[in-house]
Amino acid sequence: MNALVLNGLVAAPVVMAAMAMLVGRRGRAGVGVAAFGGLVVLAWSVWAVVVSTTALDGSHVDVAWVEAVGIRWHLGLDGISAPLVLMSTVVFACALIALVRNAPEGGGTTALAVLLLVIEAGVLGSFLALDLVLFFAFFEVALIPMWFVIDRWGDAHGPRGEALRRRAATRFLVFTVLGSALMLVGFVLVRAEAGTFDIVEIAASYQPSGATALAAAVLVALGLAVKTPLWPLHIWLPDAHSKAPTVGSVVLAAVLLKLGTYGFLRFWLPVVDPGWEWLQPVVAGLAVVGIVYAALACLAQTDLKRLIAYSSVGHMGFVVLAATTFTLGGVQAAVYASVAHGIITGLLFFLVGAVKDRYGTGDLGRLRALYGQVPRLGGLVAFAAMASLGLPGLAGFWGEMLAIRSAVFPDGSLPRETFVLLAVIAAFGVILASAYFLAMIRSAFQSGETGAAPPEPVVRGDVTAWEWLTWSPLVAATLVFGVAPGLLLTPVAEATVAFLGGLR
Amino acid sequence: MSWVVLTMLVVPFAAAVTTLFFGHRADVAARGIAVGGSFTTLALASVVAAAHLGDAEPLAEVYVATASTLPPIELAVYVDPLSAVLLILVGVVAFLVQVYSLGYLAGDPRYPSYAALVSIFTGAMVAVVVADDLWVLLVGWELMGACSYFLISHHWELAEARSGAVKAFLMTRTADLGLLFAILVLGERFDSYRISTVMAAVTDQALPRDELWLPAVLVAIAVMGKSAQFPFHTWLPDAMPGPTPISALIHAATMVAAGVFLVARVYPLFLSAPVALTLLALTAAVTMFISALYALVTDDLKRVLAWSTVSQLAYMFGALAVGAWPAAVLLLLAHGAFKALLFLSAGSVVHAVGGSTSMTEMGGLRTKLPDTFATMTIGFAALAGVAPLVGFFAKDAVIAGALEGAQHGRLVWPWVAWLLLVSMVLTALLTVAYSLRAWLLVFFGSVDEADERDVHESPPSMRVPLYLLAVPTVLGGLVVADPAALFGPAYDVELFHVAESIVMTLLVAVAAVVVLLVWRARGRAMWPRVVLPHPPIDRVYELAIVRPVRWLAQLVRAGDRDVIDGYADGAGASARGIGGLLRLAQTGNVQTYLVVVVVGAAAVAVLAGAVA
Amino acid sequence: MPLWWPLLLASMLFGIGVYGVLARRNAVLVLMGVELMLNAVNINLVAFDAAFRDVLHGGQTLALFTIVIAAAEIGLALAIVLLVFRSHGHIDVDRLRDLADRDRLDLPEPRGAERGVR
Repeated sequence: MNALVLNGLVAAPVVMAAMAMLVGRRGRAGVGVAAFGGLVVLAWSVWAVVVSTTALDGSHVDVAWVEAVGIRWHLGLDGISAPLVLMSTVVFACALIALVRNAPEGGGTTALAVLLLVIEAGVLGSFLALDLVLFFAFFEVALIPMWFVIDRWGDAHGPRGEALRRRAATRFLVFTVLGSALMLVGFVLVRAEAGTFDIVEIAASYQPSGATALAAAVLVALGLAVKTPLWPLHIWLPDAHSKAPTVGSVVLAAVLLKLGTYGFLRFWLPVVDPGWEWLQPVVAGLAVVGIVYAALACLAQTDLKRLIAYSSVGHMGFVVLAATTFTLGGVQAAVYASVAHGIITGLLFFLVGAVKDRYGTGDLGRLRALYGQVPRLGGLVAFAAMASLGLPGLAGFWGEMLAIRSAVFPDGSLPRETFVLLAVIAAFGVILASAYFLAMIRSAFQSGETGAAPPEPVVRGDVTAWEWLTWSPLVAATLVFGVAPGLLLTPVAEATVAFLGGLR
Repeated sequence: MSWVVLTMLVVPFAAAVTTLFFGHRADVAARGIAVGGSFTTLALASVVAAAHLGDAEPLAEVYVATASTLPPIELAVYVDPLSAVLLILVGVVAFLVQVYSLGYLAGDPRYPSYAALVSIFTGAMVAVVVADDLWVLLVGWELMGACSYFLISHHWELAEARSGAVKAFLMTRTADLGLLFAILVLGERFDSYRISTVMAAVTDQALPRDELWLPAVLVAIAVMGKSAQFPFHTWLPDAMPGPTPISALIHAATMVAAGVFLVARVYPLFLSAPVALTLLALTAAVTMFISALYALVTDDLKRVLAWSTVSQLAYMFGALAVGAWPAAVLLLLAHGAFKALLFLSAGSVVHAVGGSTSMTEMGGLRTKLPDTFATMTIGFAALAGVAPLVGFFAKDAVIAGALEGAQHGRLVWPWVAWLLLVSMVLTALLTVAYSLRAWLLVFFGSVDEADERDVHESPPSMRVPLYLLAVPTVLGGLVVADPAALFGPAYDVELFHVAESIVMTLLVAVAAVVVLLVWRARGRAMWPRVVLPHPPIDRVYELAIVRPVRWLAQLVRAGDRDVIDGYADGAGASARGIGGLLRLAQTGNVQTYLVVVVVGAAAVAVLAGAVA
Repeated sequence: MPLWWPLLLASMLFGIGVYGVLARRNAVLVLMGVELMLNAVNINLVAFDAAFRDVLHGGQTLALFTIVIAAAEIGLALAIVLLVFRSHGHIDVDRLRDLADRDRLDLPEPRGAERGVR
């Protein structure tokens, strides 16, 4: 795999963003260029995945960047990152195409599309980076444009709408930047212990032991836990997701959260010793608390977008639980659940955004009997909800099942009883997830409990052709990954064995 | 043959997708695809089944396997006589339900999605029946739960349809966790998720008694949920607001039958775990009796049939628990035939009287609905175990099996088998009573207002399936002549027992006479309600689970707002406060700043001198 | 001449200059304080240059630099003082607090009001 493919994958969104900006000075053509750019990046990522191997061989890009402190421009693509890269480019392409016909309030859609492309560059760079500091840098590149997206195009309806929107955007930025700062400190400590920022070398030869290594692992975990997010650091998420414009929520949930989970797999597992007594059980415990907590919070939500946002916390809990088990199955589960969550929750946010566009509100107290008014949209929501609650045969199931399996049979050095207990609690979290999705459908799409009339639509009409176009890739992916789990499990396993060595 | 099986798995789903795509454009297309798809499934199922009945070699085939999970997840099928007979049952009932729905849902704008869901439902059950990989089985198993959720809430305007659907889904899904964990444990123990491999290992290895109690009990819990056994028995009657053909499908051939099928499929596992068998026997003994009691007093025709399903399923589990495997499978097939017949004819009655399912609004219908009367009579007689209908032979085999099991017990507590036997006999009497009561209330007596209403027989698309189902109900008993032709030489057992059948026939006759005397004496009131038709355990669930969860949800919401939000806001506020303090120094007086600089420089110099 | 004489002179001048900068309220007098400090430094530079017999005469060169910079600085500063006088009507350093960090609400009263006071 040559340098052109990998460097180009990071550069392509930036180039397309620049082109969109140039064209966008005159009229709305910029959005079209940006949407085309999304497709170009998607095609490029397919090319990169096709020419790459599932295991990291020597052919990645590796040149000195800041030589004085040993930071290298080190990019590579393997079976762990490839599914996430593909998922991200698909979601970005869908979001950019959706923007062409469905611009959020506030104008300046070209600028929004350009920001999305910049975020895409940061995201792809983070997934490709194999150097701790490079990962951090790309991580920041992905975060900061999101502040503008939420603050400029976010939902400012309701009393004090603008203040709340600003608050959501700022809280998102402050939390995630604080998290990545902690992560950077952790990385520096890792370098002090391991002598390099190169994660491939660290994974191959670093033997974490002692207080400094533990502190480094804790700091990295803290930083990633903010981004993932883990309970109780999740508080930025519901606000940010529910205030962001539809494409912003889609990107935030489907892609940006994956930076955290991917970080756990790529940059946390190698700096952790499974023999440490409390670190992994504590992280796993927080993940499971998050699963149950998020499900309960969903049961009490009154806003569609907040409900979907909280459900993300639960799904990310499964991913982190799987990662902490330190098993091959755990890594498989984490990648699978990440990809599935990206597809399904991306779709859910698109759908909920469409409901909000049509009725001007996401308030569960006011929406009712939508099956009767927009049956196809309702059917799609029901489908996505079923996928999200982990129905076997759809993409959401395998990740959660494998996560539970890896927690029932964790690495030998971990406390088995604790993890089995966590697995059982997590499984009941799945039931709660079913409960809140069914409650959501019952209240908004079937008749409301009071039997009052459905709300007056702002925009009439069921799913449009353009919406079918943007959503169908996600629907198809949900089905494909539901019936063919081997597609993902095999490359992930090969990459994990090559990267982390002797996992169970 | 293996590609036929694969096609059979794919056809229902393909039919569902095409129905959804084209059904809303042309009504004819939706109907054609739905019926055609189910007919193709039936034809393929018959081809597959015909080749694997009796002493034929079972078909085992792996199409795809994941390479890098340990143990691998495989798309594997296994067709043996058990799968074969179930395939025929599923194919026939699904096809007849699709045909019946043409008439029952004529003019319903939601027909396309309904037909598509029935197709998916059929496909899921076919997947369960032929699956050799436990994960494929779980996919079909839970897909059925989802389909039943959507179909029960077909009339989502009705509050009871919505709550019944949610209840069905959540209750079965909770129990399904048992199956999930059982699969995980079995896969880890035997290093394979193939049912055939695991069962062969269980049989061959002669494992120590009760080594596998955990997965067996977990499977038993899942099965109890799916087949609506105590304490999960309440969801099935509450699922009755769904369209009646769906009830026929759920009760006869798919969802609840899948529970019995699963136990029959992994029977070696249960035989090696007497704990699980005992659990099944206890549950069955309790369930069959109380649900028969509920059936005795409820006034809703469909709920009577629902409770009778729960009761009959308990018979099957009872038979399985005491080792009467062929009897249980025979009853499963017989029940499939006569319960489909009963539900479809009940649908015909409901259709005729204008949508009400309450038996208080029926009566005297035998002259107005002659075809429905004839077929439903056969169905009720089979349910009550009247000779020589299929229900009689099946129930006889089960009770004889239970008697033998009680004498040569393999349960942990032998008295459970005796309890089961007593419960079976008592329930048989109750079954006669509630069948006869429902039959009398619907078709006999006279109701004034019935004369004014336009009560008419159903269209042919609804009547033909009734007659078609009456055939196996009447003739199915012939199976007992040679069960080996169906189940293979391993099951060449005597299924007909003269002494037991005479005793049971006498008891049935006595019970029938008593009920008829009561009908003569008291008319439609018949007997007082000794139990309320609403199970009290629902109240327990409400108090112990639903309310605490709701309360916790509110607590969590408040906690997020006041506690976790609080620390976030607190961090912001304290940063702002410290900033405010520092701001006080910025007076704007340049000379003050300079004084600070000079004093600071002097202090640094002094300090530096002191340190040096 | 012993070295400490010019050093004493320089430190006295510097002290007076510091006092002028820190304590005087008139901006012109503050500037004079600055000049005093600069010249104190110049004396130091020349004195050390002579005392160490520097071959390159760095001290004297630097003193010349300082004189030039001081001239430029005083020109610029006096221009600023003039502008301040024009806009504020006074050159009292204690009352020139526009650089203070305050909230928007407690800014000093608009200029017109101050002119009225004058």
